[in-house]
Amino acid sequence: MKVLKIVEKYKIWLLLSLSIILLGFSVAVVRVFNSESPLNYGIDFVGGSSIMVKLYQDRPLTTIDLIQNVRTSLSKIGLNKVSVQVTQDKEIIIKTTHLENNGITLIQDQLKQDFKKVEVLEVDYIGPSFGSELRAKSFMIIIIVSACMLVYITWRFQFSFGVAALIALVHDGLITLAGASLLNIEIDTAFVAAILTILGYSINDTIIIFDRIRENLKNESLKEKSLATIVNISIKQSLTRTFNTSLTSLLALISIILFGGSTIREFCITLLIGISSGIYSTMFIASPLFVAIESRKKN
Amino acid sequence: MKMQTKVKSLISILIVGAALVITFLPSLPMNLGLDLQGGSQIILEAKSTGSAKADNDAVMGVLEVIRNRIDSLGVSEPLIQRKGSQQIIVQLPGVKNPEQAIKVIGDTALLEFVEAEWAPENMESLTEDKVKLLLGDTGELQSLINKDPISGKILSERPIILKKVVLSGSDLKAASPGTNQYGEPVVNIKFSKEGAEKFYEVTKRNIGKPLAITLDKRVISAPNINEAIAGGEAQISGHFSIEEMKTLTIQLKAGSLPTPVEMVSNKIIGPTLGKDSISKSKIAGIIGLGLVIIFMTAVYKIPGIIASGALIAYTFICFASLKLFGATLTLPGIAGFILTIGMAVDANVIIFERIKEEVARGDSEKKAIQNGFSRAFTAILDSNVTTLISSVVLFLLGSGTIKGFAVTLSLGVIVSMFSAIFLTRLLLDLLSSKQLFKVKK
Repeated sequence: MKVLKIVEKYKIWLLLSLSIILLGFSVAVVRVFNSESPLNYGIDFVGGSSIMVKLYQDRPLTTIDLIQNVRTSLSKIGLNKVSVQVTQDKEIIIKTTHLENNGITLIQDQLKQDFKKVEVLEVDYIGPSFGSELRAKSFMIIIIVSACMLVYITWRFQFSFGVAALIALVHDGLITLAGASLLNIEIDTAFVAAILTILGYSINDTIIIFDRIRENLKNESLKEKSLATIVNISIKQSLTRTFNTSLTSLLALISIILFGGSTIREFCITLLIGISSGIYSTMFIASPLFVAIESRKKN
Repeated sequence: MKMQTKVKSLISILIVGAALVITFLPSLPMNLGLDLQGGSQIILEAKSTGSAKADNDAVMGVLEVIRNRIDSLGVSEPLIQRKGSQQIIVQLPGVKNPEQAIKVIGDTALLEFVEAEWAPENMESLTEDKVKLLLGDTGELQSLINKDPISGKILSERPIILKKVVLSGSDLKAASPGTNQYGEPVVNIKFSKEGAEKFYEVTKRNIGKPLAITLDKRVISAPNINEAIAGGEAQISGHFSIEEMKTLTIQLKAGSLPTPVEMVSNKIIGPTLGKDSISKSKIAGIIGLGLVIIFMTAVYKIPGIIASGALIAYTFICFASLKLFGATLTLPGIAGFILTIGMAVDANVIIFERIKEEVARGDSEKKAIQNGFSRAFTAILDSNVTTLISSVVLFLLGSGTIKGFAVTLSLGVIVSMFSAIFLTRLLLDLLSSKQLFKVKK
């Protein structure tokens, strides 16, 4: 059997991940220098208002014209620093961080004056104190989940497996965050829910491989082989199932991203990034790390 | 067929059959979250002021006041819930102009004591002139509604004519629950100095008549005045249950020391968005299911078709369980549901790959299936537990629509264990004489 040399090349894999993460973070840093917020925080986390409307007009406009028209309309009521987004279904999302709740009514009234027909799809207002409360709570939830995972893996396997799996999880979290920074995905409570799902799901593949490694370590015919080789063999043996299990989930996600409507699209894109990262980290991060931790223990 | 297989088949047919019936039962509708049916959600926070602390009683008072007001708005199936120590969540499904609702809800409570008279029982059959005569210039006809505190059902309704506001919440100093000499629950009230004088005058004038207590202009109680009461301390007795007594005390307190509330969050979802989301997610779900089935069949042939059958059964069982448990379906919940369609076959992939390996090693297919299932089981269990950990934490600590995601995700994980392990195994056993797992040599 031809054995892939995955473990030995761990430096390449780490470098690859690090460069994606760094790229994401440098984009965030650049935003800070442009005096923008480093990440696209949703109003959930920073407080503010958002309104989603559908505008009907005599003739259909291009996305750029639509945004321009909305901006012109809003500047009449002194709102110059607002974010205006147009979804694939031509819904318009207007977001602003500095608005008391009655500001939303102002926006609605102004749009009704300037456009033929305005249909309000969604209005959201989050007070600043409530925003910081949600933010703190989300952070706490992520820490709790990670701790639970470490405890569970340590209990079911051994500590070095647990640490390796946890680092892979942190990796997936960072990659997803970097992806969010690159794609300008909104960081809000839904994003945190996606991160948690990723933590719970991406560890599945890791468990499948670790289970195989554990089994192969007990296997008499492999006793002569080095730990790195056994891990390589295990990765190869689990390769198809790692791919196939993730692929089915990715298929489901892709169908929501393509057909599921704009309100849920970003949530699923986040999941897509995280789950893909999970496949990668299982083979290229968690498994080599396990070997590294084990061999350090022996020395 | 072995006895055991027969029993298992019977159980499976029953479960899947029941799931189908429940799924298509129109009399048992799915609870839809606000984001799917439209409506608004308001989160209010009670604020402490110099004179009043937003403690437990105060927040309960605010809750009562809000409930009272929403009842008067006539919203169907509102949800009014306490969240944490100082927050209150109000969900108003289907409300068209939430601005008005918010205005009504956010106002500070208004407690008043009103001189009143019981209206004659035949009030409704009286002519307009006579009614006018009874009401006078400033009178207003209302009903004292006695509700069952638990079910909210109206037990009795008694018409009452409100005449003149004589005392307000600021005159009231304290309200506390107690018992009278017969051991019946009563509410003790105490007025301020000026309040006590006014109260004495009022009671002297109105012996034998009721004194209506209104909260936001709605009658909450109307004790009869038995005598002129001096000193500013009085007792409201009646045939209260302990629950009613508590509610009245809380309402009186809320009106005497009003706690201001601040709206910290407000979400309004228009009715079209929800409908649009439902139809789009239906399409996404069916396409997702189709893609997974095509993939499984292409990769695993007949076992893949079997797994697909189990997957379809899974979809129905999940849907039926959501209905049965009365879970609320939200948009992230639907996304979670579709995601679990992709995850539910994971166990099958793991098992089938294992069986292939065992067959390649030269085991008989029957033995390979047996070993495949038993060896893959621990890995499947472990991986599902981790997903469950995430979703349970999300459920316990998450808010709003995200909770719906946690519900479908955890339900999906549990049901998939049944469909992917039990159902698939059964179907494979039934077919195991055939050569299912061909191995490329």
